[in-house]
Amino acid sequence: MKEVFKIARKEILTYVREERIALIILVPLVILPLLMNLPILLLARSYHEVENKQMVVAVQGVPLELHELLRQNRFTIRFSSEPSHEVREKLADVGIVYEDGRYTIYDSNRVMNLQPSAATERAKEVLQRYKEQVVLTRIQPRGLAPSDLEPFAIETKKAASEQEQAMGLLALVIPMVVVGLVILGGHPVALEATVGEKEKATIEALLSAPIAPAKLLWGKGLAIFLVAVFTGTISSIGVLLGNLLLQHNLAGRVQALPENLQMQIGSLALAPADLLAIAITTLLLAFFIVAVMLAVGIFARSYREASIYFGPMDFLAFAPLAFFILLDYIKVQDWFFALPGLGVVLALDAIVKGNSSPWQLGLNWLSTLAYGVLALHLAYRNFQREDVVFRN
Amino acid sequence: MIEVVDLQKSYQKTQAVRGISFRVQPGEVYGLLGPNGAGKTTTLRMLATLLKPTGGSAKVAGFDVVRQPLEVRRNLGIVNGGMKVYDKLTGYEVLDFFGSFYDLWGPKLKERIAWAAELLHIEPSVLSKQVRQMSTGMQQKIVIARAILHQPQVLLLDEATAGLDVFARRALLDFVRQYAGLGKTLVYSTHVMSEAEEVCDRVGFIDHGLLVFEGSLQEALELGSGSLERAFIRRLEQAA
Repeated sequence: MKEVFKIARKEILTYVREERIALIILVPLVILPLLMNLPILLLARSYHEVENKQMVVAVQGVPLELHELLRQNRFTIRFSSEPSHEVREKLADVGIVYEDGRYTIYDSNRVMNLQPSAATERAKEVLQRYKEQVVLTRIQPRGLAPSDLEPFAIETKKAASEQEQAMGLLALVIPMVVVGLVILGGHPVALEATVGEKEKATIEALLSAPIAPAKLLWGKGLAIFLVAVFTGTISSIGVLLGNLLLQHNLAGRVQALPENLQMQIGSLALAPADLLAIAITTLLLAFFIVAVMLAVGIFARSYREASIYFGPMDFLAFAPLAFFILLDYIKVQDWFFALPGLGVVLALDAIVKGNSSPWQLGLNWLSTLAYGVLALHLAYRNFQREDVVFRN
Repeated sequence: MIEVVDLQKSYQKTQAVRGISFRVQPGEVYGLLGPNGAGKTTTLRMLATLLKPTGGSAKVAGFDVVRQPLEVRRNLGIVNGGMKVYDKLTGYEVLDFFGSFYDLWGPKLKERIAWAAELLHIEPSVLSKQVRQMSTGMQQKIVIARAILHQPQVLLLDEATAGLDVFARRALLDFVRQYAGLGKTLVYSTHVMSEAEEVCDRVGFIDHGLLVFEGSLQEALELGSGSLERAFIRRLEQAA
């Protein structure tokens, strides 16, 4: 066993002494919270600024009462024979035309620019209020109240499980981060530990030492496994840090955004059993991925060739995103949980949303373990094949 | 200490080693001489259990290279010119890493590292540097120190002076004689005849996977009228 730890230690030392190690560790801890917070922070800040800003509205054929209402709502009126032109030329933030009993709002259609969108929203609100005033003046003489126009209320409620709602954004982020970074995190060590030995001409010295191939494999696998799990863990910490920041500093600002720009900030609303299930699922995934990396890495002749082989695995790292998009269109069957890699995404998704069943989880864990054992067997065979080991 | 009988190695359509036999005794330096692609490296790799022979047999320190590979490796060290060690580890860490596979731990390991460093003229302070910060010659000395740390009975050197400057090369040749003086068995594979002339007791000429001459250094020199290079060329021409 000592030899296994020695090999793992060597691989980890080599990884740690890589100049980019600080980046590798810091990126998930700094970049992930930034990625989660910065866009919302900027959005909320810009929206707040824009909301209180005096804006220009180009009008044509609009009655005087509406002018007054527009001025009260921080609009400067610009009279024009063609408001749409004024908006196009950026002389006005929004245009309003009244013609034949119809109000038309012209907005700039500029993407990712809050000011015109806020101007349009504000103009819509003003028009809605004006409409209510007009309605009131017309129904009052007939003895009707505004409530008479609304005989019933309409309410939309989310049907998702309480846990899914409580998890909010995290329900989407956790499976993506866990799967993605467990896969990507092990890559550098796997490359160094396998094809790196060939490229750097260290493999002959290593193989001439009296160590059984199985121990060599376990040592290298242990190093890749530890680094993959470490990367997955610090990335999860990064996500939780980002989430805490969102909850404590930005929640108010996010709620102040209009509904179409809001997102649900969740919290880590997971029971200990769910956390344990996530840990088991992740560790089994890491075992499977490590075994595949060992088998493929030692087979490759160069870093370049290994990168080509690892490509499909990188795809798997981004698969959760594609899978989540497709999930609404697919009826998930139990056997999906036995699919290599994707079954793990489904299992994690089900755990964080509180929808997992013991049967589905068991199927996923057993199948992942079986795939891992198969891949490990292949890796073991590859490590013993001289035509593979000395391929360069 | 090394016994090779009709050793063969084929790769699909290529026969790299076509049945060679030789013996090397303790305290002896055996020169395996041949042009590039003659089969020297393949032969040594089979002796080091890195490649499996497709025919014949070989024993190293009394152990069969096919049936007892771990025992062979425990009694053998191998160095070749292209061999490297982990460049991000320090010299000490490299030796500590390899030493552990030979049950060398703690004070015993330190003692062996000090012994190897002294034999190879490695300053102790150099061992605390990462290998990538060392000169090529010093890196090669670390490769050799790794191979002799467990004081193997058999040491295989394959083009071990390749890429070394004159000082490092001299140190290596001195080391070969010194190590043989400890009663160890050495195979020195090279295509540089002057080196073989300097360190070998007996030589074998290998060409196209066959041993075309085997004898003492004196016999080889006589065959080439005092020149090992001439003997080598003559014998290879005769074999062709």
